Amino acid sequence: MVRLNIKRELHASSGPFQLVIDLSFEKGSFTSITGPSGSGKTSLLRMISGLMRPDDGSILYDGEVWFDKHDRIDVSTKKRKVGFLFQDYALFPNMTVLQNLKYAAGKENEEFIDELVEVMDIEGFLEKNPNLLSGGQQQRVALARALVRKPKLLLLDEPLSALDAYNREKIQFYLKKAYKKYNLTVLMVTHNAPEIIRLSDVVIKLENGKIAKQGTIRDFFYKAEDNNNYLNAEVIKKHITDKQYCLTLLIGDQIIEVKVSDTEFQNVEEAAKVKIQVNEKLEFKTVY
Amino acid sequence: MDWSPFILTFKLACITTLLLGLISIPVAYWLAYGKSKFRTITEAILGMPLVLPPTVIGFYLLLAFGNQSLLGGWLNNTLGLHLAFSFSGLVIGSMIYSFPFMVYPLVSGFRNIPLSFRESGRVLGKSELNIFYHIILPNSKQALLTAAILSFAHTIGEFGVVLMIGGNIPNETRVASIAIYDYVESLNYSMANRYSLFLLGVTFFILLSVYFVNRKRNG
Repeated sequence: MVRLNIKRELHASSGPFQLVIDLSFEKGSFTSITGPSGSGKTSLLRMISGLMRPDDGSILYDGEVWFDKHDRIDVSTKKRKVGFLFQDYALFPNMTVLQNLKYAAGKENEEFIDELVEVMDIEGFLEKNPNLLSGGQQQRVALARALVRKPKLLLLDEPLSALDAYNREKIQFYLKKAYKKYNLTVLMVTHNAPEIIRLSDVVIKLENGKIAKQGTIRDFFYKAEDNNNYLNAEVIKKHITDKQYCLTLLIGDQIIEVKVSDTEFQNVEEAAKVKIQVNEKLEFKTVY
Repeated sequence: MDWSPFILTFKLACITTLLLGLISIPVAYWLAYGKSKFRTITEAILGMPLVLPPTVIGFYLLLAFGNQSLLGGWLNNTLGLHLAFSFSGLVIGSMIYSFPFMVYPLVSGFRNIPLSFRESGRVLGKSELNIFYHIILPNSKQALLTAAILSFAHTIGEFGVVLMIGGNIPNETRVASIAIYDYVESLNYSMANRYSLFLLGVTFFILLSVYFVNRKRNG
C-alpha cells in the first residue's frame, strides 16, 4: 500500500494555497488524478518522487518510509525507485533511443531492454535521435525508459496531453499492456475522461490542493447526480418507417436512428435537444 | 618577420582558454543551479572585467604580484613564483580578465537545459555528477564552444592587462598586441601593419572555421 499524508504550500496563478493530501492506494492499482490546472496534481507527483519536498507529513511505500518530516527522513529521488513520465518526454537529445534506454538501465537492468523494446514496439527506431521521432513514438520510448529500471511506482504527468487522438489511443494501449504485464502501481495526472475510464481503477479529483472527490470509476462517473449516464442528442429528423415511430439523432458526431413510442414521438420536435438513456437490452429511450 | 610574439600570443590564448575552461565549468554550474545567496555577489564580481578598464585590473594585479605585497611575497618566498613580468603572471592576468567571457555563456547554456532533463536523470537513479557529465555537458556543446571562442579571441586581443603586468619582454611577455604597439611607438608602421594584418587574418580564419563547423553540426 502507498500511504500519503502531505502538506505543502504552493503558488498558483490565483495566489498561494495549501496542498493537503491524506490518501492511500493499493499496490498494483491504477489511480488517476484529475482536477483544474493549478490544483497541485503535478506537485503531488513531484513530492512522491522526491523532486519536491513536502512542508510536513509522510510518504510510505509498502511500509518503507520515503519521507517523514517528524523523523527527519527524506530518501533521495534516486533511491525511491519510481518511474516518472514527463509531459515533454525529457528524452536526452545527445543520445540515440537505444543509448537513452541503456543509460537509464545501467548495467544491472541491461538485459531487460530487449523485452521492453518488443513490448513498446520501438525496435524500428533504436538508432535514431529522439528529436526525429513523432510525439507518439517519443512517448513510447519515454515509457520504455521509465520502465527499464523496474520501478516500484510509475508516475505519469499528463503523458498523453500533447498527442493527437490516434497516438493517444495507441499509447493508452501500450500503457495498459505494460501495467498488466509488469503488475505496476500507477499514478497518472490527466484531464481526459475517456483516458481515465479506459485505464484506471480509482479516480481522485483535486481542487485547490484538497481532495474534492474520489472513488472507483463507477462511483466517480456513473453514479453521480450530474446525469452522466445520459447521452445528449439532437433530433435531426422525425419519421415513420415500417409503421414504427423513429427519430434520427445526432450524438457527438454520430448519427443514430432509434425507435420510440407514440407518446415520445409526439412530444419531441425536430432540432430539439434531448437526453437519451440506454437500457440493459441496449435499447435507446428518450428522456426528454 | 619575428614570429615569437605570435607564438607567445597563441600559446597564452590556448593555455588561458584551457585552464579557464576547467575552472569555469564548475563555477558556471554552481551559478546556474546553486541555491547559495552568494551567487548574485559572485556573478557581479566575476563580471567586473567587462566594465573596468583593463589597466585598472592590470594595475592591481601588478601590485598583488609584486614582491612587496603579501601574496607576491609569499608566492616568491614559498613557491619561488615570480608572477610580475612573467608568462605565468600573464596567464593568471588573462584568466581573470577573460573570466566573464567563459563563465557567462556557460551559465546561460546550463540554464537553458530543460529542468525535466535533470529531474529525469535523478528519477533514473543517477548522481548529480553523472547527470552533469552525461546530460548537461553534452547538451551544452554550443555554449562550451561559444565560451571557448570568446575567451580565446579575448585573450588574443588583450592589451592593457598584459602591458601592465607583463611589460614588453621578448619571448616572455611580448605578445602580438604589445609588439604592434611597440612598432607604432617607434614609427615602424610597415611592421605594425604586417603584424596587424597577420593577426587579423588568423583570428578571422579561426572564428570563421569554428562557426562553420558549428553551423554544419547544427544542420
